[in-house]
Amino acid sequence: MAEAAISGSNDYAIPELMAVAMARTLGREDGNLGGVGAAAVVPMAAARLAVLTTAPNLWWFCGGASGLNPTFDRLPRSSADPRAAIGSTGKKNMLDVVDMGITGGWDWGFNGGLQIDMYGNINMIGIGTYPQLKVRGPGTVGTIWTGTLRRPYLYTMHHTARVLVEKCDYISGPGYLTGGNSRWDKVQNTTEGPQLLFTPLAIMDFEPDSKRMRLKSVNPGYTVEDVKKNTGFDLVIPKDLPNTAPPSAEELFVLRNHVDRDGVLKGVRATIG
Amino acid sequence: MAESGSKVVSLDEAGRMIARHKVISLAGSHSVNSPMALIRAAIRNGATGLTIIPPVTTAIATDLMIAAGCVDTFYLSYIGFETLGFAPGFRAAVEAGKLRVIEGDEPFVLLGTRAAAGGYPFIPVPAGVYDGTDLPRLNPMLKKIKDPHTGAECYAIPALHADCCILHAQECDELGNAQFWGGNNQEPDKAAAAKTVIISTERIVSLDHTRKNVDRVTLPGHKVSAVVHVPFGAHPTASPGVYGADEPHLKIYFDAVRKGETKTYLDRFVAPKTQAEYLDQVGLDNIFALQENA
Repeated sequence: MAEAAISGSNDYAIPELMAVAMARTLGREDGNLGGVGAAAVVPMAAARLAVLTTAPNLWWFCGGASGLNPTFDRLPRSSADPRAAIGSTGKKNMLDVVDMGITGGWDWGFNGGLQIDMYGNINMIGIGTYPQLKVRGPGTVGTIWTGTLRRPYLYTMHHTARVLVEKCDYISGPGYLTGGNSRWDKVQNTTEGPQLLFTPLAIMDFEPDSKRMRLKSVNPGYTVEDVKKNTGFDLVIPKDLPNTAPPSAEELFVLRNHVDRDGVLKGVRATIG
Repeated sequence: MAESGSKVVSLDEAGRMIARHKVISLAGSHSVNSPMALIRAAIRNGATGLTIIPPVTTAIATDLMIAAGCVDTFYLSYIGFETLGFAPGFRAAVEAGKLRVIEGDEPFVLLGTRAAAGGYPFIPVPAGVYDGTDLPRLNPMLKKIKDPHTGAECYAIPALHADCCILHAQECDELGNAQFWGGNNQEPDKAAAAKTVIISTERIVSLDHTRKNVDRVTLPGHKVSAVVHVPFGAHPTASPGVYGADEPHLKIYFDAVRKGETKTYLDRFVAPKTQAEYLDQVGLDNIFALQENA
């Protein structure tokens, strides 16, 4: 049964660590345009934090409320909350969002899934035999764009072998499909494929040739064994694996005083097993 | 005094109008700006066998209609309660084999609506958008065609026409000139793609007010069939600039449906015949507190 993921420190909660780790990653997207969608409270915090720390010239689109570059300091629980558009520099119609998905106009984006597999494919459709699925997922929504946006970043708040599976029952967002170069036989070749996966336990990347998911760093408080035990396939495990660096005092200060003054992240459910 | 050509009707009359139709579309995202009072009125008036074309993201608005047993067919992009979890009514209906799902996504619902709004029979998208996914296999409405100009492969997204579109506006005059605050502007195409358009509104404003604020009028009223004055008509979803979403109420709904106690929720919150009776059930103190989170 799933249990709450606990950070290895009293100083911060797991969703805060994940937001900080994502914000550091977004440093490489400074000046680029990306976005977050449904059920994305942690990536929303990360994008706002990145603008204040690692990526001052980031362009980011905040889901249903449709603001570009919002400057909220009280993190809303949903990107559709009107308060998620506070202090934006522009707004996008949903039709613009879809146009940009089709034309490959997004540089980066965050996507999650009911299942995520060893090649970074995402399933939002369901588990079991279609149409009377055993578990009906919420639907594909914008996960389709992992096939067109340049650099998808993946996340899940539940590190368990039920989410991290060898092969998705259905693919709603293409990752590296069956590995190697198989992705580019199907999707537009302007894209680079999934970059990283953030979970409560660890950060994963993908081996350059096989495109198999590879452990990159383990979050403080957990071990490689914890990660292996809760992952439904064999990860590529490099030697000399680092821990994810914990949030610095400065990162936590900015996060808690300029992004999430109400402490919403601390209450976000993150689980293992 | 009513304006000449006034389209104002009662909530109950609007509910009867909706219940006479089969294919219903709506806008509002997640837990924001859903036409909840209209939905409750349609359920009370016996809406049944509906096909729903939702916005690209939806939560209680459509889940409630499914849980109440009004829906046969659902055009899916995303339905869920975000941090609360999966949509309980939708999930139970599919897993019990009681709901037909058209397996769509953002472009399917958006561009299908665009096609219907503009009179295009379909909108083609490059095959690469869908070829890496299982959607073409699961959704027979996504048909592969060749671009007659270049020979490139495409998927044709069909026009998604609705009989009746229901929307919630922050301000609307008696002729249906409406202001939708916040959101991402899915309303105009949804309205254009429907035969009948019904708008509930927080405030009915004068034509003079519309004229003075024309830059904020997001939907001109010429296609609007009916306007209903329903303060707090989006509750328990948010009405941008007016009140926030009622998260404790969403959880009451979520827990009730998940435990199989949908009837308890319906009896308490859908059965009340007027908006005033509904607000009594919710509690005016609770309602007023939501205005602090607009």
